[in-house]
Amino acid sequence: MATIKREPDAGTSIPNGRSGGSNVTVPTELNDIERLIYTTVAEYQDGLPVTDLVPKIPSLSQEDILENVNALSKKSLLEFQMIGIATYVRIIELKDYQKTSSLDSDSKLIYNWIRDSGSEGIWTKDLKKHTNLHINVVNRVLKALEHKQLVKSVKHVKWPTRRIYMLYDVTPSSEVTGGAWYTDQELDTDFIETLAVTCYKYIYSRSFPRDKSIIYRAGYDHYPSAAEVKRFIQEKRISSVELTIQDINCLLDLLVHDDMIEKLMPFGMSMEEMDDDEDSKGDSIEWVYKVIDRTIISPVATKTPIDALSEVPCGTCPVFKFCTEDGPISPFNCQYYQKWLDF
Amino acid sequence: MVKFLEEPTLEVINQAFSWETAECTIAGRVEAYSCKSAGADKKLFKQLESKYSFDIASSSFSPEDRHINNVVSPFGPLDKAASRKTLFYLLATLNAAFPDYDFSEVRPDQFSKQISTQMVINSVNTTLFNLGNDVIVNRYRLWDVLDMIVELGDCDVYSFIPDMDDDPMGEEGSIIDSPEEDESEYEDDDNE
Repeated sequence: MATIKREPDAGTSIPNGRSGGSNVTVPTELNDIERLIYTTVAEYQDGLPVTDLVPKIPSLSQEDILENVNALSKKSLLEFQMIGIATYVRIIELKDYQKTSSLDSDSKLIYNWIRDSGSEGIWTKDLKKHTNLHINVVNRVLKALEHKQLVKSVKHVKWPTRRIYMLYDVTPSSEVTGGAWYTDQELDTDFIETLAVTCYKYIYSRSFPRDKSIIYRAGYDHYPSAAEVKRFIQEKRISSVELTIQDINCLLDLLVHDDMIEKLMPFGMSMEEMDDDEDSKGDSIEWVYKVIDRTIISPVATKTPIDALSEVPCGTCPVFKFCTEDGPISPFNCQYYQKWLDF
Repeated sequence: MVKFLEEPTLEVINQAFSWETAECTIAGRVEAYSCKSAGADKKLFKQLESKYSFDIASSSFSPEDRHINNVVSPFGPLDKAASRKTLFYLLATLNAAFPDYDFSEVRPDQFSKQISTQMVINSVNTTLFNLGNDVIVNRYRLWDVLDMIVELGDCDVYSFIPDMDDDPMGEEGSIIDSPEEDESEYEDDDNE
């Protein structure tokens, strides 16, 4: 029987949501022991090591368990998988079973690899590599599976010419479709620009008071956060697709990088409050955004931005190297300072 | 339908087409495919026909539509059946040569028609000699062999320029030298 080799998982077998296999349809033609084993294994969505079954079902002897596991496997209701060095056993759900019981072993192998690729899909080149089947066999099987509406081919936005397949009723992940920013495999730049402009306008309206001759005090804490921008966008119904907070963050980062807005820490938050843990990446901080206003005129700001160090006379002093506190040339008798400070 | 042709003379060349220099390893292949005019690859053919052909009965006469229908491609205007056929054969050949890829959505502007076969020959020769290999041309007589299979004098040469990330030859670790590496010599048998 074809087995699938997988890398070992960090975790051990933990029941995954389904209790007592209650959400799983149990095939009717099983005897009591088989049913018990089937429902026990059903609790573990990713399977569990065969050896773990013995302590989990104390009412059955080890021989009974192994015998019936093999019987179920022959009926294609359980499948084996090597994870690391342990043999795991996993149920084949009834709906899968019905679809795949009529497949030959090559087809089943390919079907399982496609199923395991989930919403990312699998490339035919990888399918060939993992199954060791000739490309002609793979093509024949894929054609048959497509005909039976068990699998479908999808286009990946990153590699549009690769032949990638996934199960028929699986929705492609946003990696494959490009997510909110791609329409028909192409980057929808108009859409992105419209949204970015809308975000900017909203942030602008919250960055300055109505009266344009004043600005908010330093402690102003009602600049909009990403969540508020998201709510605004949703209320305006500009986007026909649902935008996630990550999408909004992408737009805001875009504006920050284009130097249109600045990202500020909410006022009152001190540096100590920031998490030292690299992994949290400031997720717990709710950043706020403010438009960078370049129209503010101030006496100092009329000049082009300058670097303090080059303004100080020492920066351009021809005798800098000779200057010491107690020498003939010193800061005390420096004529450049005299000139600079003589305002 | 395009069909891969087994040509022992080409296989001899292909064996010589892999060598190493101080900076890189070079691997190349020359393959011959025959284009039969029986449209067995019906699905691809129908797809292309509906995409590019000008159907008087059903299309509107809006400016955008007219523009699409007069798309000038390296194969000629796409509202001519002969141009579409060239595109079809090229895409079908690419599909046959790279079975893990599907080139049906490739745009005509990703191909470029080379000015003359002689220039292509010169360019390939230069590339090969610069990479330190003259046996393919001089000892294995690459161009003589090709001339026997397709008449070089009667050929149009097209180059396929894939998008950056999407190159079947551009898998990890490779450096793509020139688009000439990806070319098809196309001899039009049904030239009336």
